[in-house]
Amino acid sequence: MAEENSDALNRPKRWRVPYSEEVIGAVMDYAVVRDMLRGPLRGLAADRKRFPGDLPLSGILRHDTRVRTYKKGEVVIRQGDYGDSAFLILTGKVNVPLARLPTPSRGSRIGQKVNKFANSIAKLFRSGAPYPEMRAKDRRPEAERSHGQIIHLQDFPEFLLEGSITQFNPEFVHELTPSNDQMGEVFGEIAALSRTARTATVLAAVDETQLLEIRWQGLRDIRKFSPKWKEMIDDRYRSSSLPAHLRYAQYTSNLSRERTRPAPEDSSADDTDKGQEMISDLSHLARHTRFRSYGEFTWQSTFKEMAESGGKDLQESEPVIVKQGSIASELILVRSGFVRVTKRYNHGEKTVAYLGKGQSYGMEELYHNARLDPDKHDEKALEYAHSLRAIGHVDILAIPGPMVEANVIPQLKPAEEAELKAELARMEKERSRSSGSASSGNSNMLEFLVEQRAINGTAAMLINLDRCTSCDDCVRACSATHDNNPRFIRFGPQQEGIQLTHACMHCVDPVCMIGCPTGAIHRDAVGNQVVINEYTCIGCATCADNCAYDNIQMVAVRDKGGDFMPGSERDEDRGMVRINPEEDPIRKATKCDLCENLPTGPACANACPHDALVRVDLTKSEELFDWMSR
Amino acid sequence: MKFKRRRLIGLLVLGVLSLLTWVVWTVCRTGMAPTTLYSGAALLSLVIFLALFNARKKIPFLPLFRASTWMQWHIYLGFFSVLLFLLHVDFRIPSGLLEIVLAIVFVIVAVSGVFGLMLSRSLPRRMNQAGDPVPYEQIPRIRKEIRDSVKDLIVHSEETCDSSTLSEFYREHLREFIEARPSVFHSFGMEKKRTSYQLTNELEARMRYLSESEIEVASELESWIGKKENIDFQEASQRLLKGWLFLHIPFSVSLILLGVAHGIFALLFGGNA
Repeated sequence: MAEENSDALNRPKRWRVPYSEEVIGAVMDYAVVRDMLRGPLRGLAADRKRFPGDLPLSGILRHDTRVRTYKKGEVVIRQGDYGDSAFLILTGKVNVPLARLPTPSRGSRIGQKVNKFANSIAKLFRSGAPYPEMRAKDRRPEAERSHGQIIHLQDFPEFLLEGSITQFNPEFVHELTPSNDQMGEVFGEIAALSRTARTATVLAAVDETQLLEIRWQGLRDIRKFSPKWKEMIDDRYRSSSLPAHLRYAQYTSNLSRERTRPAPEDSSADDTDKGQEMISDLSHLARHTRFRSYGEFTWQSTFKEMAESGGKDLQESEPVIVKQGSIASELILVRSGFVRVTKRYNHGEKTVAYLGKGQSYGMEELYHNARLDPDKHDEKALEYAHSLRAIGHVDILAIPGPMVEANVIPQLKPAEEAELKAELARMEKERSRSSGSASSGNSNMLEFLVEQRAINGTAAMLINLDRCTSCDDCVRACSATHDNNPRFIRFGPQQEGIQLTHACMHCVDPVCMIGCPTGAIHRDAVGNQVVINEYTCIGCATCADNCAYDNIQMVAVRDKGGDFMPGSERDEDRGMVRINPEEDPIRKATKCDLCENLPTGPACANACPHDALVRVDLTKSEELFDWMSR
Repeated sequence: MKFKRRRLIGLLVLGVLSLLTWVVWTVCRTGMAPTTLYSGAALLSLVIFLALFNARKKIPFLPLFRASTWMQWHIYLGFFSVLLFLLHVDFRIPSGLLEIVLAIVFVIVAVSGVFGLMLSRSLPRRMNQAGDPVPYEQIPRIRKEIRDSVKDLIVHSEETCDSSTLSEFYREHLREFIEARPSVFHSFGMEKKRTSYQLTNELEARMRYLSESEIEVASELESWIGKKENIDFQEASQRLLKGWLFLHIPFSVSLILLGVAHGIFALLFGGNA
């Protein structure tokens, strides 16, 4: 029942906090928007009328973008960080080092360091909240300091001009400047769109470099209503993600980036200058590489339905990438997502491994086939030894066999060749054994992890039930750390005495972020954990519904007196009206934050006296099996 | 670190520490040093340190080593405290009321500690083997679900099958089993009531009197009996795993208080011996 009350708290809505207000020093208002639509975004302005009335382009630009100014040498985005925004160059220029930056440059950001020890001491003197989920009435978080970190160019002598300490060598740095075309020069869109880590570091090349930062939600809506931008962003996504991935993928990272071979006439590769007719081996390979996508971006809804039928049905619903027994014709590189590797076993298929981003399949077979002597007719080309199936949404790069033979195999390092030969010998041995066997000691566990889609988790909570005494010290520790509100449920599916507990796993592909209208659920800029900004969370439950693991809880928040927080919202006829909190309380999404502000790390794992609980990265099965075999 | 290796290192450290203590104690005794005073002070300090484990649990957000590390210290130093205690009392039964009470309390704390250690190392595995683990707070709900489902089945079979075989079985045997709550001895198989195995056997024996639809009901009943058995075992085990602490912790606090009192009296009236 709604009743009038002007004192009640405004019910949180999208755009309550403009993006520009989240960072000190960022600007954006309607005057800036107007100038931009007349200037660098004039291409977008042409599509203005395609935007619906309740989601106008000017509103998106006002609330979902911000203008940020960088000094020379300041890092705009860092390779390896997760980002949920893209950038458009307004003025100045930026540098993109073509090689991976050395590790020291990738430490914590200056100005973002949290005094974790002081936080933990402060908790000692703070009494816990007397009621569950208590919140201050209008708690507004402080804006963050600028994300930028000054990096001294001298830190990267390998990228500098000889004798200079202030200039990058243009050979090793790709320079981006404001584009003259109507669409502008955009970067950072791959990570923002695919919820993956940044593939390159970008630094401001000159003082007063101005960039328009567009958060993921804004980018999504602009893409949705502006066909020109959709086309431009999708083209860039395809053209720039492919070489970026090849640059760091297994086997192809050896390829030269020096422009030593003539470019075909229709060349439009990224690293060719217009006046030059040469391209690198890497670009040559990129041109012949096929980009394929399997499964749906929003795989979690189908997964939830299929998980109920479970087992064989779920496996059969996964799209086949490679079929066991077909002649090896491509090297498969996983660009994003996860791939189930199975082997035929009697009347079914047994999961023997899974592959994640950056891993490859088929190199052994292609290597063997490339060394076949055409005169020896008894030598047979190898077939794929396994089937590959896409788990969720998977992007694959497929390099044709002849390209691998001509470009990749000749540049293999001796250690890689030795490894391939050893693997081939092992495969040969396995083939000579009984055909029905697909034994793997950890097969059931692998099957379980894949079936639960737990391989998506970088910090999954596992409990060894053979050691867990149900003392609940983990729950109490979590509760003590979060104002008496535990952020996980000590329960969940189990296999071989290991329980996959209902706690946020901080996924590689956090599907919970899809659809968040305000960007409240996001990756932390420092630790990369998936966290929720409670202030901007509007309680729509999209994240909780999207989470394939039911690890996000919606809670009704209370005020200091323990009553549900009263809220008000605008009614078309009556203006601001109060909503009865007992009927429709203000809700917030809550979940595990990995105790990001504590020096101890996750309190749950730290508090387990029996070594029964662990937070483990399931994208690497070795870590799990090490823990299990203690 | 692998558990085996950790255990080996722990035992080695405990052995070396015990040996050193023994040697020092022997040497001090020969030199007429006040060994009782030293061993008493060491023992009291050690007991206080062991009790701090529980205090550490209250402040999980402070970087004070992992709880599992504290647990290892607690276990091995706990065993070491037994040696100190024996040295302190000179391997004799103490005289004096306070000393006797103190010794009894120490024995209770030490024995309950060893009992707790054995429980926490063996019961979780057995619980896991017995069936699905159940959070303690969920047990009353599941118990009610089992009770209601069994009742509904019996009522349904009575109404639709025109037969009293199953309802008689329910009244004579099953109801008591379904409604009973387990004692802590359940985990050790020390209860006198019928086991699920016996009940299932009795039900099987009555199968010859059942119609086809009743047989279906009977097989459902068997499945509920299995669930009830699991929930009983889980509840009894969890109560035991939590319950031993109600002995260990209060007696530990008493031990510290009595130990301090004993120390004060010993210093005031006991001389240096």
